[in-house]
Amino acid sequence: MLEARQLGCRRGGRVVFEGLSFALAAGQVVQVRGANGSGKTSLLRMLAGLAPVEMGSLHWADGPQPVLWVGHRTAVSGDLTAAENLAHLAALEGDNAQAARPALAAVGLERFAEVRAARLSEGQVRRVALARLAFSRRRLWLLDEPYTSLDEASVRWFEAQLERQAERGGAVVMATHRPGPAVPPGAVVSLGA
Amino acid sequence: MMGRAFASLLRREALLAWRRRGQQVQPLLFYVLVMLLFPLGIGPESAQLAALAPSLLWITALLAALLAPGALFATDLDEGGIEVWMTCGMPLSWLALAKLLAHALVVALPLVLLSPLLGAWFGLRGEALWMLPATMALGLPVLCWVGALGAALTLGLPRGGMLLALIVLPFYMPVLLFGSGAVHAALAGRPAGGALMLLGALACLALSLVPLAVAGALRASQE
Repeated sequence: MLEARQLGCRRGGRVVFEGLSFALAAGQVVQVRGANGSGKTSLLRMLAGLAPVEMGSLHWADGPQPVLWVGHRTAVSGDLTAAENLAHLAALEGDNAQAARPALAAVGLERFAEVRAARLSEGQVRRVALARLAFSRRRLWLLDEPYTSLDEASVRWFEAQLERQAERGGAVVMATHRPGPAVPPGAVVSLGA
Repeated sequence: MMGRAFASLLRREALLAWRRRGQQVQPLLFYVLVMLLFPLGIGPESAQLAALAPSLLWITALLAALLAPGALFATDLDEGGIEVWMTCGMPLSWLALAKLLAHALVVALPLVLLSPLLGAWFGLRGEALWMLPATMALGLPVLCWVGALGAALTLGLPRGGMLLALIVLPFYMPVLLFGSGAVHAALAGRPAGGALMLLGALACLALSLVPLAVAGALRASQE
């Protein structure tokens, strides 16, 4: 699906990482590991097209495609309800906004659908953003620290979504410290090692 | 699909404006309060006041519009909305257009609707009275869009507010010239159609170019 050749990242004149090569195949869940500041987020932003590729190159098998991006900042607006936020994100990404309600129920936020996101906890806000995984048809998911503030039930739901994405031939790249059971051994990109 | 994303963003912006209405009425309140001060300063009966009314009404509306764009994209940057706009597969300028239309609707429309009331109160009559909202309906959206471009360019800069005013004020000048000029002309019984058409041309120019420029500025803010 995607191949990175000799990828590098420079920030403020300092080389964060360089010479990074890896291939991403359909059905793979790849974990990006590394210490704080090793460039995990920078790598994901390059894959998402949010940051320019300054060193090395990225090659897409079928040309660049829109990805599903769930960043550290969740794009959930505090002044909109959980349901409004999710329906809007679905509409932006070309998914069916009607799928928002069932997706909220799937992440256990049914009772909070009409609550403004500003009144939700951090973990609940993250669940609103991740609920897109329930209906997204994007082939590549890029997730930056998706486990942050998730409770155990949400982690189980999240890992089930990763498996579903892998089974239907999609791919996931996520930055995380946590070795999840959905990650097959070997599918790890290490930074700053 | 592009239409649905556009409509969804437009609806979201309108909803957010309603939820944050305490913040949204600030330009409107500013407009009314400052206009109330002029008769106190110049004297309510003076002929000067009536002669100056078109300029005063337009300058104050311009300053009110300058208050609005400061935080236009700042929350979207903080919350991560801009990242999703850039990765969702829709053209960024298309989404910027939705955002700009919503901004003009929320900021300019109330000022346009209020202007005939203030105009009548300042003694505008006949053609001059309807020329005021007509020029504002064409001119204020231009001010909003240029202001939005300034907000996008200064996004993420500390103390961007002053810089924003410096960037956008030169582009506000022609709008002010043609806007207040048309109302002055109508007041003096001269034809004002030319100025009105130039304002319309400026509005078309801003509507077609600003979304592209805003998209470029937002992209730069992510690097």
